[in-house]
Amino acid sequence: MRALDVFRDIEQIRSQKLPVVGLGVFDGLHRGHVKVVEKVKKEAKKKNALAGIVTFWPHPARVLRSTSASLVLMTLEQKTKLLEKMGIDVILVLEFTRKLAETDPEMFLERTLKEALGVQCVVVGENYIFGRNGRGNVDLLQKLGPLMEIDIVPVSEEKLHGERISSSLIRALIARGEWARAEHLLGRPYIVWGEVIRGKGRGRELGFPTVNLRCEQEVFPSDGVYLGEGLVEDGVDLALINLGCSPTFHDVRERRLEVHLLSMNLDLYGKVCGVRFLKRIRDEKGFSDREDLIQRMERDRMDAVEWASERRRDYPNRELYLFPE
Amino acid sequence: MLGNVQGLIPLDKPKGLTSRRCVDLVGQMVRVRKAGHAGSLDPLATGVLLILLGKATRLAEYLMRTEKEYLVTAQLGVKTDTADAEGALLEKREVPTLSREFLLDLLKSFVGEIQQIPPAYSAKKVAGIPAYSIARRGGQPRLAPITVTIFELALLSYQEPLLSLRVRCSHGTYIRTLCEDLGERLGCGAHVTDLRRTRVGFLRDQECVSLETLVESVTPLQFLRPLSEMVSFMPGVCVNDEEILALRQGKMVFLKERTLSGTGTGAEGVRALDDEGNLVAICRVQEDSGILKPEKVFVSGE
Repeated sequence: MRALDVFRDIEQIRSQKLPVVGLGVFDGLHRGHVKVVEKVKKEAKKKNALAGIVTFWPHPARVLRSTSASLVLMTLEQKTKLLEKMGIDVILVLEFTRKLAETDPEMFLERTLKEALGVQCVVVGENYIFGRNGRGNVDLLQKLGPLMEIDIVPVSEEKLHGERISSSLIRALIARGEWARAEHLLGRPYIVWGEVIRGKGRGRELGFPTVNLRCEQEVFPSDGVYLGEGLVEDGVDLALINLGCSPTFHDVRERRLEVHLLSMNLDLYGKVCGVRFLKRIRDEKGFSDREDLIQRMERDRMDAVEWASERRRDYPNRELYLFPE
Repeated sequence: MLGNVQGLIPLDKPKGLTSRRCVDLVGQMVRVRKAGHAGSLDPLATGVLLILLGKATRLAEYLMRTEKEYLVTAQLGVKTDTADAEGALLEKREVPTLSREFLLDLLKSFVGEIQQIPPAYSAKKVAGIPAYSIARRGGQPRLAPITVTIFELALLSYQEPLLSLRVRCSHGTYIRTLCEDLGERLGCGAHVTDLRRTRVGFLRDQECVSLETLVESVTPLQFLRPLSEMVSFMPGVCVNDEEILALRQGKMVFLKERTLSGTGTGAEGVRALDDEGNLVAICRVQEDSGILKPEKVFVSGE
């Protein structure tokens, strides 16, 4: 496989020409995004050119407004890695700033795409909007593109069972706990990756050792106890997941992601571990007595094993996952 | 029909494109070989750009000499090498506290005939070479001062450090230089962050067509304005067939009892029109003898 080039600065890329690019934010790289990526590859092949992606970081919504829409489904590293796997050759990540958002579409087309990158063909999702006052859309691109000798290839919105696929819908579904639907729209499991950090060692004390994850991804379901899968090194294990502030103990303030792996007991500090949510078991709850807590956790564990054994063929399924290198 | 297009398309220039690029794009759209503009706008500026097509390019000199109006926003306290937002940062200085009265007085002192040294990043030629090509190679072009006239310099708003002005000025005025000079007088320097030309001669930006609209339109020629209208700021005089022939041969014609119609002093020239109002020639009038001397002759119907 060719090595992927990732540029964070347009100055670095100037010597290289990118005749075919896909333009977009591509958060989550869902089925709709994949369609754009496939089209980019096809157009690139036609022109015998490198397949390029021009994307933005941080997520525009994070810069323009600080609502929940700014929570991202994947980190930049995950995004570039997945794009590489899909067969993209060059990725240009433009830093998204207010100034960039204020850029007139004509200027972006002329200066950035045409002059700096030598773009001849732009592939975009038909709902893509960019530039000052959101004037840059497929309509405008299709008007100005041919004039500037840039082919515009719009890709129609991907629908699944009549439902439009969008990153914001997927974010909402995950937050609501409808992972099955979210993953269906994504076209792959939604996995939260995080670095294993030192916790309080309390789980071990209770007989339920947990790994505590620090995540850069930001879309989570609501607080509670979940059954899921833990992805460790290149193995997959069933896991009980506690997402929240451990209300039994009153010393935890921030929201934490604690994962108890059912059959593994490894020293994982500093390693990267993934979590996939499968089923919500219950709300997070404070127990007055730690024995009650232990009892409840035993029951959760049994429920989990029972639930998973009924679906042994489906879980765990490591074919589906993209392990970090 | 193709290739015989002549007239003017008033374009509302988009940001980021050079004036020349806009001319090429419009020329391409209406498929005319010869195209030009009457006075360029900086790549970052927007607003009125007169695109001249076909024979209309010959009118450029008259249209260029017209009065211009701009809306400009300058950022005080920051100097850049190009004097606009695209340039490299040269210097940052403290912006002094400015009262409205002080600003108004300062602006007043710039009204009237002033001297400007054109910016290093400009198309002004130094010994035949554009200044910008010297500046881009790291040189310091030595530009001679030019005399321009500021007719009006209105303060629109000042929210430190952004100063917004409306400028009405003669042709050839460099707004970037004007802002830099204002900044120097304030002791803090300045550069242009936003520039829009709102008027060239009689043509306002509201009457201009955007590149987008032009592309979208099936018949972009509907936006074409005829030659005679372009120079309607000149007084007109009607000439008969015999005189048309004479003018076309470069011969002089007597005004006789005819008076000049329309506005203007005729100092810039006089339009000689046929009975249908088509432009035959731009002429000079010799006041004492009442003679029309053709300066630029347009032969239509070829």
